[in-house]
Formats: sequence, C-alpha cells, structure tokens
Amino acid sequence: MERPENDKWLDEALSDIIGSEKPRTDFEQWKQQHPQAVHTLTSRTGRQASPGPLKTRRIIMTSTITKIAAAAVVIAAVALSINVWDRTTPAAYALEQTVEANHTVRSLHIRDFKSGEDEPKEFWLQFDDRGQVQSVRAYMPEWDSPSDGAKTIIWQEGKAKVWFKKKNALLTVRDERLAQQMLGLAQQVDPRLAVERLREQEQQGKVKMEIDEPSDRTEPIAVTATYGPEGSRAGRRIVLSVDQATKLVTAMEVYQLKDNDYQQVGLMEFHDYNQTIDPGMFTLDGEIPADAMRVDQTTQEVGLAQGNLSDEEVAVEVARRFFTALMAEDYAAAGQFLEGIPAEKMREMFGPIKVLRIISIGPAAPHPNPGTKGLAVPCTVEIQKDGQTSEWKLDRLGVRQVYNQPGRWTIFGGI
Amino acid sequence: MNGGFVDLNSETQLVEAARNGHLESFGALYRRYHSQMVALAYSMLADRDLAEDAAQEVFAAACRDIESLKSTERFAAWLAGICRNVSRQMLRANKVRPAALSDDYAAPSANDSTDRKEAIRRAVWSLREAERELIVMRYFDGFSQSQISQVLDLSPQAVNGRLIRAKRKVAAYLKRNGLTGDDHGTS
Repeated sequence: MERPENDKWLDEALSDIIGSEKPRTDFEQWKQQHPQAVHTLTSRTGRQASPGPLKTRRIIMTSTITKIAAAAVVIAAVALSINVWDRTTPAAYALEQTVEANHTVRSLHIRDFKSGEDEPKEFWLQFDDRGQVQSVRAYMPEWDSPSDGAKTIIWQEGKAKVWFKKKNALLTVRDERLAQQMLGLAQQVDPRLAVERLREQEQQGKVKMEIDEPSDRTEPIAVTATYGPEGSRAGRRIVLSVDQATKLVTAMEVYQLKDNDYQQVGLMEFHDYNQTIDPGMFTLDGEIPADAMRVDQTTQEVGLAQGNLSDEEVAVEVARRFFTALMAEDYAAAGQFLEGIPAEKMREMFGPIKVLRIISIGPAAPHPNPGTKGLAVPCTVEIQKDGQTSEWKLDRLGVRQVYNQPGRWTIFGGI
Repeated sequence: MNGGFVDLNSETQLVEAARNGHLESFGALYRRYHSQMVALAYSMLADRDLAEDAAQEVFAAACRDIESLKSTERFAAWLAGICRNVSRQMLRANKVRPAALSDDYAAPSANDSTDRKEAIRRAVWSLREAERELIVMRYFDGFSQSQISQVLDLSPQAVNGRLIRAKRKVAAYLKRNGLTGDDHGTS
C-alpha cells in the first residue's frame, strides 16, 4: 500500500476553484421544456410489454446490534445550500467575495417559501461596513431534509454550526459556500444591482423585462423578467416587487410555465432592511441541551487521508481502521473515522460491545443511494456482548469524503 | 423484468424500459446522471450556465436516440459521448473559448489570492481534455471514482491512476509558476 502523498493543499485548491453549487436536477421541468423529445420517447410505448411501476429495492439490515447502534449514531450529511432563485448571476456578483461587495444591504431577514409547504426557510443576514457577509442565521424546516429534521445554522468567520434538533447533535464545519450564496442573494436583492443584472440579461437576449410603476405610490413597482424558450431557465418568470418609497426589493416571486400558465413555485420575502439584528440571533447559546452530542470538524481532521489509494481501497481501509480501533477500545481513534464523534460518546455507544476480531471487510461497492456519493463496505466482525460471542454483519457500511475536508474519508450514516 | 417492475437500482432495466418508451425510467436515469453531465460539459465549456444548457440538450438527444444505444450496460458512457458532441457544437456555435484560456491572461503573482485562483484554473484548463474531464468531475461535486469510471468508461483503477497523474501535472504547473502548498496556507 503506497504511502499517501501530502497533497491536501492541492485538493483544497481544486475544490475551491472547481467545486460548485450542485446543479438543480428537475426532471419535471425538463419534460415541460422538451415536449418533442418526450413525445419521441413515449411514442415507443407498446412496442414491447410495458414495465410496471417503479419499485425501489428495500435495504434490509438484519443485525439486531445494527439496529441498536443505528439509533445512536446521528451525524448526517450537512446540506447548507439554499435555492437561490437565479443561477445566471455572474461570478462577479455571486461567487466571489470581492473587496468591495458592491451592494447596499447591511442586514436583512429573508423568508423563502416553497410551493406546497407552509413553513418557510428563513435567513437573517448581517453584513459588515464593506458589504461582506459577517453573520448568518438560517432555519431549514424539516421538509428540506426529512432525514435530518429541522436544522438551525449559524455561520460566522468561515464556520457553520449546524444544530440538528431531532438528533440532538451540534456539528461545526468549515464552510464558505453559505456566505457566498448569501452575498449573492444580497446583490440580487439590491435594487440597483438586480435591475442592472436583468438589463444585462435582456441585452444578451436571455430575458424580456417589463416594469410596471403604478401611479399609486403605496403600490410596489413590479419588475417582471420572463426567460425565453431557449436555455435551462426556459419557462421561468421572476417578479420583483420594489417599494416606491425606499426603492428596496420587498419580494421576489418565481413562476414556471406549465400547461400554458405561469404557476408560482416560490416566493422570497425580504424584511427589515438594514435594521439592527439582535446579536443573540447569531449564537446558539441557550438552545443546545447540555447532553447534546457536539462534533467540531474545524478543530480536527476527520477520517483518513486518501493519498494515492483508490476510492474503494480507502473505503475499505477506513472500515478496517475503525474496527481495529474498536478492538483496541481506542474510542478517540474510532471516533475519528466516524465523522469525528467524541471519545466519550463513542464509549457510551460502543462500550457495551467488545469487538474481538475482524472476520471480513470489503470489497467496497457504490453505495445503493447514489446521492450520498459514498461507497458501501460489507463488514463482518466477531463481537462479545453480555458475555455472548456472535457475528456482527453489516451489509453496507457507508464511507465517503468528509464534508469540506477534501481527500479525507469517513464512515457516515448509521452503523 | 423483475416480475413486471423496474428496479431503480438496476441500470440496465431502467435503460431497457426507457428504450421501450417508459418515461419514468428515463426520468430515473436523468436524475442519476444530470449532475455528471453538467460537470462533464463544464470541463469543456468552462461556463456553468452553458454547461447546464448543454446537459439539458444531452438528455433531449438521448431521448430521441436511445434506440441507437447498442449496449445497455454502457448507457453512462454513451451519454457522455453525446455530452462531448453537444458541448463541442456549443463551442463552435457560440465561438466560446473557455475563460481560463483567454489570451489576455496575465502571469500570476504568487502573493495574490485572485491570481492564485486564476493560475489554478489555468492549470486545470491547460490539461488534455481527458485529464481535465477527470479533474473537473472529481472536484465539481465530489463524484466518486466509481461514478466517474462509468461516465468516462474507464476502470476505477484507471480513474485513480490518471487522476493522480493529472493532479501531479497541475501541481507541476503551479510550481513552475511559483505556487506551492505553502502559498495555500496549508501543507
């Protein structure tokens, strides 16, 4: 086995340059935009026996010990991204924290509604004098990620603290994307920049813009941008409401053309422009119970460095080292391979189980849930519990790259 | 067909069903490969918006031409071939030249963060197309070597080896331009 090369800096640099907001995969929208292609495909139906409805294969983990521990191990994927309404924002606006952030927003409260859901995502944003993102509080309702439950996120100084209330766990990670997204949002909300950007897109032939300025000064100005039939935003319409007195954007409605009708799919409301936000909003003090599990991935490197190992090799190696650490009752080391869970929590979870030997590990295979971007490693170990020796068989131990620690791999999900 | 059902985990079943006009199966394939097609197109176009547009067109073409797919096991690689063609057409039609390769690119100075980013970007887009595809797919959204191997029609071992070599080339380029891990703040 080759010694891993120390190229962490290069991994980080490449992630920084190439890493991107996950593309929005929306098959329903694609179907609407490509009726001819859909027709071509579906016209083939009936030439051969038509298949029945889709069925997802159920993953069955039979070990009773698996079930015991699965309830205890709680760290899940951290999904910090939000649905920013428009991906066409030029990099100069949204993706770079330029020296002069070029917008007038200094604080803002956003309520982001999704069609069909009552509870909005909420964001409280504080910017510094230069317009750089200083603090963010975000609330993500359970519908955004049912497996995680509702989350509260506090972002400051490049760190995001994520409070998983349902799982009674606080996770701290390095993160820059959330602040970049928030900066992009502020620049989109800034009325001057928002209109400037839409004009730019109009000149490029991407959108048709209409401005309706009611004579009644109490009524908002409506800026409507309708995307043309070409491109990934075909059928999209954005309506900005601009307060006539303050000239601030107060709401942003997003519509999608469906059945010859523009149907609302999202609404963002903007409140409390440049109103001082209570600093207490940007701390979780008092919200986290004393017995909550705390994992700080900013003060420790989690998992195992990949070096020159292949994904499959490093996944197997992570699993092997994890069980080896448990055999030695080195809970601190074992926790490092399990998202960085603290030693005392590991002892609490795994102390009653004595791992005697590794019977088999691997080979790794793609995880049955491709969305995890992980690998599944089958493992069988011999254990002793309550004086009885038995085999502990895990069909699919999940291993994947650590969030925001490129090149390092960890076990994820339940054990 | 598994008792009349399409197993979402079986790609060959999904492809076969899609060939027979089953739209839901095609949708499952779309959801499985859309991000990867955006990443692959991005490696050629160096423009996120264009890459998303290209990915949309890739699936439209796939929808129309899926009957021409000879081997259902090679759906991802077949899709990648369409993606390369669509991206090349867009490059020709729009006379797009990846921003990272613009002629007015200035030599980086090691002390400047923006220049450093430009240098890294330049290093990536200076790689051969096949190497650039690997690097971009790996770092765009953290696709696993296994996922990349399906799309690029390589073994996971080949992906690993070529990825290491491509990274070495990037590192060598940066070193020639006076940029090392020390400049990055980590070692």
